[in-house]
Amino acid sequence: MQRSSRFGVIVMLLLFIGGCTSTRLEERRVSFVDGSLKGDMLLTDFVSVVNSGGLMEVQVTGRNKTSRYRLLEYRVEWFDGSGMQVPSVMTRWATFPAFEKASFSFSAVAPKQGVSDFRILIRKAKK
Amino acid sequence: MKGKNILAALAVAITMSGCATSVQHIDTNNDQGKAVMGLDYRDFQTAAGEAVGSMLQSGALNKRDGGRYVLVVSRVINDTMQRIDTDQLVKKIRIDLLQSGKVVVTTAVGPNGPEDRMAMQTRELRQSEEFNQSTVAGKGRMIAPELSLSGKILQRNIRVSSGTQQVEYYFQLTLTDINTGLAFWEGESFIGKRGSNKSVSW
Repeated sequence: MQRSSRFGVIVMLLLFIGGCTSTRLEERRVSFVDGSLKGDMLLTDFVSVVNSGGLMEVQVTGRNKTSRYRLLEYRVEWFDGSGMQVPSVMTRWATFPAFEKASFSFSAVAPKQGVSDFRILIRKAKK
Repeated sequence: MKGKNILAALAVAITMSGCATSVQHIDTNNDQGKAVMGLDYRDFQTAAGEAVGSMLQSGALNKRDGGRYVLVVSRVINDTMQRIDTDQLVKKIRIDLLQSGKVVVTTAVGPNGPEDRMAMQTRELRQSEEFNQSTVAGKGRMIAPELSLSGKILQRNIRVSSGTQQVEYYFQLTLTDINTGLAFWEGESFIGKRGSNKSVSW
Protein backbone atom coordinates (compact mmCIF):
# COMPACT_ATOMS: atom_id res chain seq x y z
CA MET A 1 0.00 0.00 0.00
CA GLN A 2 2.79 2.37 1.11
CA ARG A 3 4.81 1.37 -1.92
CA SER A 4 2.02 2.13 -4.40
CA SER A 5 1.30 5.52 -2.81
CA ARG A 6 4.99 6.43 -3.10
CA PHE A 7 4.86 5.41 -6.74
CA GLY A 8 1.77 7.58 -7.20
CA VAL A 9 3.54 10.58 -5.66
CA ILE A 10 6.54 10.10 -7.97
CA VAL A 11 4.28 9.87 -11.01
CA MET A 12 2.43 13.02 -9.96
CA LEU A 13 5.72 14.84 -9.38
CA LEU A 14 6.97 13.83 -12.81
CA LEU A 15 3.74 14.99 -14.43
CA PHE A 16 3.93 18.28 -12.54
CA ILE A 17 7.53 18.92 -13.55
CA GLY A 18 6.75 17.90 -17.12
CA GLY A 19 3.89 20.38 -17.23
CA CYS A 20 6.18 23.22 -16.17
CA THR A 21 8.85 22.73 -18.78
CA SER A 22 8.50 23.64 -22.43
CA THR A 23 9.01 20.91 -24.93
CA ARG A 24 12.17 21.28 -26.93
CA LEU A 25 11.44 21.09 -30.62
CA GLU A 26 14.02 19.83 -33.06
CA GLU A 27 13.73 21.49 -36.45
CA ARG A 28 16.68 21.13 -38.78
CA ARG A 29 15.72 24.27 -40.69
CA VAL A 30 15.90 26.54 -37.64
CA SER A 31 19.18 26.98 -35.84
CA PHE A 32 20.71 29.19 -33.19
CA VAL A 33 24.02 30.17 -34.73
CA ASP A 34 25.13 32.06 -31.65
CA GLY A 35 26.74 29.59 -29.25
CA SER A 36 26.06 31.83 -26.26
CA LEU A 37 22.31 31.37 -26.76
CA LYS A 38 22.38 27.60 -26.50
CA GLY A 39 20.56 26.47 -23.40
CA ASP A 40 19.09 29.94 -22.87
CA MET A 41 16.67 29.86 -25.79
CA LEU A 42 14.32 27.06 -26.65
CA LEU A 43 12.47 26.41 -29.85
CA THR A 44 8.94 25.37 -28.85
CA ASP A 45 6.73 25.57 -31.91
CA PHE A 46 7.05 25.84 -35.62
CA VAL A 47 4.35 26.37 -38.25
CA SER A 48 4.77 26.36 -42.01
CA VAL A 49 1.77 26.95 -44.30
CA VAL A 50 1.08 28.03 -47.87
CA ASN A 51 -1.26 31.04 -47.75
CA SER A 52 -4.17 31.86 -50.09
CA GLY A 53 -1.78 33.71 -52.39
CA GLY A 54 0.35 30.59 -52.83
CA LEU A 55 3.21 31.93 -50.73
CA MET A 56 4.86 29.91 -48.00
CA GLU A 57 4.64 31.47 -44.55
CA VAL A 58 6.54 30.32 -41.50
CA GLN A 59 6.15 31.16 -37.84
CA VAL A 60 8.70 30.28 -35.22
CA THR A 61 7.92 30.31 -31.51
CA GLY A 62 10.46 29.91 -28.76
CA ARG A 63 11.08 30.68 -25.13
CA ASN A 64 13.65 32.78 -23.35
CA LYS A 65 14.49 30.68 -20.29
CA THR A 66 16.68 33.33 -18.72
CA SER A 67 15.64 36.20 -16.50
CA ARG A 68 17.22 38.70 -18.85
CA TYR A 69 15.62 40.53 -21.76
CA ARG A 70 17.44 39.73 -24.99
CA LEU A 71 17.32 41.39 -28.35
CA LEU A 72 17.73 38.68 -30.98
CA GLU A 73 17.77 38.70 -34.75
CA TYR A 74 16.75 36.19 -37.38
CA ARG A 75 17.49 35.72 -41.03
CA VAL A 76 15.41 33.61 -43.40
CA GLU A 77 16.89 32.20 -46.59
CA TRP A 78 14.43 30.82 -49.13
CA PHE A 79 14.99 28.03 -51.66
CA ASP A 80 12.99 27.01 -54.71
CA GLY A 81 12.06 23.49 -55.78
CA SER A 82 15.46 22.88 -57.36
CA GLY A 83 17.27 23.96 -54.22
CA MET A 84 18.39 27.31 -55.62
CA GLN A 85 18.38 30.22 -53.21
CA VAL A 86 15.78 32.90 -53.98
CA PRO A 87 17.28 36.35 -53.40
CA SER A 88 15.10 38.88 -51.63
CA VAL A 89 15.37 42.14 -49.74
CA MET A 90 13.56 40.24 -46.98
CA THR A 91 16.60 38.02 -46.49
CA ARG A 92 18.31 40.17 -43.89
CA TRP A 93 19.00 40.15 -40.18
CA ALA A 94 15.77 41.37 -38.56
CA THR A 95 15.53 42.01 -34.84
CA PHE A 96 12.88 40.70 -32.48
CA PRO A 97 12.50 40.86 -28.70
CA ALA A 98 12.81 37.90 -26.34
CA PHE A 99 11.45 39.03 -22.99
CA GLU A 100 12.68 37.41 -19.81
CA LYS A 101 11.03 34.08 -18.92
CA ALA A 102 8.58 34.51 -21.78
CA SER A 103 7.74 33.16 -25.21
CA PHE A 104 8.80 34.95 -28.37
CA SER A 105 7.73 34.49 -31.96
CA PHE A 106 8.28 35.88 -35.40
CA SER A 107 6.93 35.11 -38.84
CA ALA A 108 8.14 35.48 -42.39
CA VAL A 109 6.66 35.15 -45.86
CA ALA A 110 8.37 33.71 -48.93
CA PRO A 111 9.27 36.20 -51.65
CA LYS A 112 7.46 34.28 -54.39
CA GLN A 113 5.45 31.20 -55.25
CA GLY A 114 7.35 27.98 -55.85
CA VAL A 115 9.50 28.40 -52.76
CA SER A 116 9.58 25.00 -51.11
CA ASP A 117 12.27 25.21 -48.48
CA PHE A 118 13.98 27.65 -46.17
CA ARG A 119 16.65 28.04 -43.53
CA ILE A 120 16.29 30.24 -40.46
CA LEU A 121 19.27 31.48 -38.50
CA ILE A 122 18.91 33.10 -35.07
CA ARG A 123 21.55 34.99 -33.12
CA LYS A 124 22.02 37.72 -30.55
CA ALA A 125 21.55 41.18 -32.05
CA LYS A 126 24.49 43.51 -31.98
CA LYS A 127 24.00 46.72 -30.01
CA MET B 1 72.45 66.85 -46.77
CA LYS B 2 70.68 64.92 -49.50
CA GLY B 3 70.59 61.85 -47.27
CA LYS B 4 68.95 63.86 -44.50
CA ASN B 5 66.21 65.02 -46.89
CA ILE B 6 65.46 61.45 -47.96
CA LEU B 7 65.28 60.36 -44.32
CA ALA B 8 62.89 63.20 -43.48
CA ALA B 9 60.66 62.36 -46.46
CA LEU B 10 60.61 58.70 -45.40
CA ALA B 11 59.69 59.63 -41.84
CA VAL B 12 56.82 61.83 -43.05
CA ALA B 13 55.55 59.08 -45.39
CA ILE B 14 55.62 56.47 -42.62
CA THR B 15 53.83 58.82 -40.20
CA MET B 16 51.11 59.64 -42.74
CA SER B 17 50.51 56.04 -43.70
CA GLY B 18 50.19 55.20 -40.00
CA CYS B 19 47.37 57.73 -39.64
CA ALA B 20 45.35 56.70 -42.67
CA THR B 21 42.39 54.35 -42.15
CA SER B 22 42.54 51.35 -44.43
CA VAL B 23 39.64 50.95 -46.82
CA GLN B 24 37.47 47.89 -46.37
CA HIS B 25 34.54 46.47 -48.24
CA ILE B 26 31.32 46.32 -46.24
CA ASP B 27 30.08 42.81 -45.55
CA THR B 28 26.43 43.55 -46.19
CA ASN B 29 25.36 40.12 -44.88
CA ASN B 30 26.99 40.65 -41.51
CA ASP B 31 27.76 44.33 -41.11
CA GLN B 32 29.25 44.88 -37.67
CA GLY B 33 29.77 48.59 -38.32
CA LYS B 34 28.37 51.01 -35.76
CA ALA B 35 25.04 52.65 -36.44
CA VAL B 36 25.10 56.21 -37.76
CA MET B 37 22.64 58.97 -36.91
CA GLY B 38 21.74 59.51 -40.53
CA LEU B 39 20.07 56.93 -42.76
CA ASP B 40 22.36 54.32 -44.25
CA TYR B 41 21.82 51.29 -46.51
CA ARG B 42 20.85 49.09 -43.56
CA ASP B 43 17.92 51.35 -42.76
CA PHE B 44 16.66 51.30 -46.35
CA GLN B 45 17.05 47.52 -46.41
CA THR B 46 15.05 47.21 -43.20
CA ALA B 47 12.28 49.52 -44.40
CA ALA B 48 12.05 47.86 -47.81
CA GLY B 49 12.12 44.34 -46.35
CA GLU B 50 9.38 45.16 -43.85
CA ALA B 51 7.23 46.82 -46.54
CA VAL B 52 7.51 43.92 -49.01
CA GLY B 53 6.88 41.30 -46.31
CA SER B 54 3.85 43.18 -45.03
CA MET B 55 2.43 43.66 -48.55
CA LEU B 56 2.83 39.99 -49.43
CA GLN B 57 1.45 38.79 -46.10
CA SER B 58 -1.57 41.11 -46.29
CA GLY B 59 -2.90 39.49 -49.47
CA ALA B 60 -3.42 42.94 -51.03
CA LEU B 61 -1.45 41.82 -54.08
CA ASN B 62 -3.48 38.67 -54.68
CA LYS B 63 -5.47 39.38 -57.83
CA ARG B 64 -8.81 37.58 -58.07
CA ASP B 65 -8.12 36.01 -61.46
CA GLY B 66 -4.62 35.03 -60.36
CA GLY B 67 -2.93 37.48 -62.71
CA ARG B 68 -0.54 40.29 -61.94
CA TYR B 69 -1.37 43.86 -60.96
CA VAL B 70 0.13 46.72 -62.96
CA LEU B 71 1.79 49.07 -60.51
CA VAL B 72 2.93 52.65 -60.98
CA VAL B 73 5.32 54.24 -58.54
CA SER B 74 3.88 57.58 -57.53
CA ARG B 75 5.52 60.25 -55.43
CA VAL B 76 7.60 59.25 -52.42
CA ILE B 77 8.40 62.44 -50.54
CA ASN B 78 11.65 62.94 -48.71
CA ASP B 79 10.65 64.97 -45.64
CA THR B 80 13.94 64.46 -43.82
CA MET B 81 16.87 66.79 -43.29
CA GLN B 82 18.98 64.56 -45.49
CA ARG B 83 19.53 64.57 -49.17
CA ILE B 84 17.99 61.23 -50.11
CA ASP B 85 17.12 59.76 -53.44
CA THR B 86 13.91 57.95 -52.53
CA ASP B 87 14.74 55.36 -55.18
CA GLN B 88 17.08 53.89 -52.56
CA LEU B 89 13.91 52.66 -50.90
CA VAL B 90 11.54 52.30 -53.83
CA LYS B 91 13.87 50.36 -56.12
CA LYS B 92 14.38 47.61 -53.55
CA ILE B 93 10.61 47.30 -53.12
CA ARG B 94 10.01 47.28 -56.87
CA ILE B 95 12.58 44.56 -57.47
CA ASP B 96 11.06 42.26 -54.88
CA LEU B 97 7.47 42.92 -55.93
CA LEU B 98 8.36 42.21 -59.54
CA GLN B 99 10.13 38.99 -58.54
CA SER B 100 7.15 37.96 -56.43
CA GLY B 101 5.20 37.42 -59.64
CA LYS B 102 2.26 39.36 -58.25
CA VAL B 103 3.06 42.75 -59.71
CA VAL B 104 4.43 44.21 -62.89
CA VAL B 105 5.63 47.81 -62.84
CA THR B 106 4.91 50.32 -65.60
CA THR B 107 7.59 52.83 -66.52
CA ALA B 108 5.41 54.52 -69.13
CA VAL B 109 3.70 56.80 -66.61
CA GLY B 110 4.85 58.47 -63.45
CA PRO B 111 4.27 61.51 -61.25
CA ASN B 112 6.72 63.60 -63.27
CA GLY B 113 6.03 62.07 -66.65
CA PRO B 114 7.12 58.66 -67.84
CA GLU B 115 10.06 57.09 -66.06
CA ASP B 116 11.25 55.73 -69.37
CA ARG B 117 10.32 58.10 -72.21
CA MET B 118 11.34 55.60 -74.85
CA ALA B 119 8.00 53.78 -74.83
CA MET B 120 6.34 56.95 -76.19
CA GLN B 121 9.26 58.14 -78.29
CA THR B 122 9.52 54.89 -80.23
CA ARG B 123 5.88 55.37 -81.24
CA GLU B 124 6.98 58.37 -83.26
CA LEU B 125 8.61 55.87 -85.59
CA ARG B 126 5.15 55.14 -86.98
CA GLN B 127 5.75 57.91 -89.52
CA SER B 128 9.19 56.71 -90.50
CA GLU B 129 9.62 54.75 -93.69
CA GLU B 130 13.02 53.59 -92.47
CA PHE B 131 11.48 51.23 -89.94
CA ASN B 132 9.65 48.01 -90.57
CA GLN B 133 6.22 49.09 -89.31
CA SER B 134 5.34 45.61 -88.07
CA THR B 135 8.12 46.03 -85.47
CA VAL B 136 6.84 49.40 -84.24
CA ALA B 137 4.57 49.29 -81.17
CA GLY B 138 0.93 49.39 -82.19
CA LYS B 139 -1.79 51.69 -80.96
CA GLY B 140 -3.66 50.79 -77.78
CA ARG B 141 -1.05 48.31 -76.59
CA MET B 142 0.08 50.01 -73.40
CA ILE B 143 -1.42 48.81 -70.13
CA ALA B 144 -2.68 51.39 -67.67
CA PRO B 145 -1.69 50.98 -64.01
CA GLU B 146 -4.14 49.52 -61.52
CA LEU B 147 -2.21 50.19 -58.34
CA SER B 148 -0.17 53.18 -57.23
CA LEU B 149 2.58 53.17 -54.61
CA SER B 150 3.15 56.45 -52.81
CA GLY B 151 4.78 57.44 -49.56
CA LYS B 152 6.82 59.67 -47.37
CA ILE B 153 10.00 59.46 -45.33
CA LEU B 154 9.78 61.60 -42.19
CA GLN B 155 12.41 62.68 -39.70
CA ARG B 156 11.98 64.04 -36.18
CA ASN B 157 14.88 65.27 -34.06
CA ILE B 158 14.33 65.30 -30.32
CA ARG B 159 16.73 66.63 -27.71
CA VAL B 160 16.99 64.02 -24.93
CA SER B 161 19.56 65.79 -22.76
CA SER B 162 22.28 68.38 -23.15
CA GLY B 163 24.55 65.86 -24.83
CA THR B 164 22.10 63.39 -26.37
CA GLN B 165 19.65 63.59 -29.21
CA GLN B 166 17.10 61.17 -30.57
CA VAL B 167 16.40 60.94 -34.27
CA GLU B 168 13.23 59.20 -35.43
CA TYR B 169 12.65 58.11 -38.98
CA TYR B 170 9.28 56.98 -40.32
CA PHE B 171 8.94 55.23 -43.67
CA GLN B 172 5.27 55.48 -44.64
CA LEU B 173 3.93 53.77 -47.75
CA THR B 174 0.45 53.44 -49.26
CA LEU B 175 -0.79 51.17 -52.03
CA THR B 176 -3.84 52.70 -53.71
CA ASP B 177 -6.30 51.00 -56.03
CA ILE B 178 -6.43 53.54 -58.88
CA ASN B 179 -9.92 52.48 -60.01
CA THR B 180 -11.59 53.17 -56.66
CA GLY B 181 -9.07 55.44 -54.98
CA LEU B 182 -9.07 53.14 -51.97
CA ALA B 183 -5.91 52.24 -50.09
CA PHE B 184 -5.44 48.47 -50.34
CA TRP B 185 -2.44 48.43 -48.07
CA GLU B 186 -0.56 50.83 -45.80
CA GLY B 187 2.63 50.30 -43.92
CA GLU B 188 4.96 52.17 -41.64
CA SER B 189 8.48 51.27 -40.58
CA PHE B 190 10.06 53.07 -37.69
CA ILE B 191 13.78 53.45 -37.19
CA GLY B 192 14.96 55.27 -34.07
CA LYS B 193 18.50 56.31 -33.16
CA ARG B 194 19.87 57.89 -30.02
CA GLY B 195 23.33 59.35 -29.84
CA SER B 196 25.57 62.29 -29.25
CA ASN B 197 24.42 65.79 -30.10
CA LYS B 198 27.66 66.14 -31.99
CA SER B 199 26.55 63.49 -34.48
CA VAL B 200 24.98 65.01 -37.53
CA SER B 201 21.74 63.64 -38.94
CA TRP B 202 21.56 65.73 -42.07
